[in-house]
Amino acid sequence: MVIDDSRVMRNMVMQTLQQAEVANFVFDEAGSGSEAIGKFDADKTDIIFVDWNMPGMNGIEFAREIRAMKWANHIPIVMITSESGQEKQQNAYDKARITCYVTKPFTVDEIREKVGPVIEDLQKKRDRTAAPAPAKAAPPPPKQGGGFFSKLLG
Amino acid sequence: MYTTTQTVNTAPIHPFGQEIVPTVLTEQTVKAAVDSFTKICGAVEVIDDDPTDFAHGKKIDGIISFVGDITWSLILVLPFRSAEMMAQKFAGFEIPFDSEDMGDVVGELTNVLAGVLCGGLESVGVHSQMSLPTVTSGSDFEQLMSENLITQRLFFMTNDHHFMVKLVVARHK
Repeated sequence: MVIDDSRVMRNMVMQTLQQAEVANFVFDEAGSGSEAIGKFDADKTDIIFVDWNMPGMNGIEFAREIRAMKWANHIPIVMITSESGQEKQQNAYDKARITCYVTKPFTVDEIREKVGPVIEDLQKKRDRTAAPAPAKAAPPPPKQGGGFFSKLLG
Repeated sequence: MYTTTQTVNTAPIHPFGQEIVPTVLTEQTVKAAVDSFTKICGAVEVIDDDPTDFAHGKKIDGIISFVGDITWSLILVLPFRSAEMMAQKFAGFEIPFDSEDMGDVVGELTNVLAGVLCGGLESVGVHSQMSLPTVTSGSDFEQLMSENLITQRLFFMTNDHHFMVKLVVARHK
């Protein structure tokens, strides 16, 4: 899901993610934090890209809402913003528990470098969940002869 | 080519009682404009004199205000041709001056400049929080400023196109 109040910016984020070839994305878009909350479906969302400065609910408030949802708080949130100060970035990590931070303007290489590991991690978690459970040792065969049922059945 | 300076005058950072925009703002704005627009458009040069009359002709302004240790505003002024060139470089596709997307892009360009500037100011101990951008476009207009405001105009050039950054700081009453 890509959330930014600028339509051009949303297109740029989606285009750059496609060019970075870190995953095959199917995008969902929202123009504000509140619109995104309304559209949000945890079962259909693998990763969220959100702008910080938006009218109404901003990116930090949106991220905090998602982190408060027990069924959705595992979804990675990438903050894409022009806020470049170290203190502000740290605040975003601390207060909104975002997964990673990309500053505008960004390049395809920067997106690949920062978002690539997040996607890899996501894939590993998915593989772990999808892998079949290790086979349990077969239970020992019932003892023959001498048991209660053997005696009963003759 | 402008080379940004490493020594920054951080004191006094409070503009009250001064008749000029605090040096730290001017220096950090120049650095932020050069850094951010070089990344978007290629080499950016600082120009000493007003290269064109920015009050006339078609242009678009992006405005962001700041609160914190200093209360001030920044206006990115892009003449018609400069706006189209920068929008194309930023978005990666052509955006006509009169389209709705132009306002979107100029707002975003102003946002990028303001974000880099906030980071620069933070690095020298000046805390600031920025507003959302406002965009105005048209012909033969200029933003009117109250007499209680101090303004400073900074001129730049990239890819043979000019642009201006105007700083507006409150004067002590």
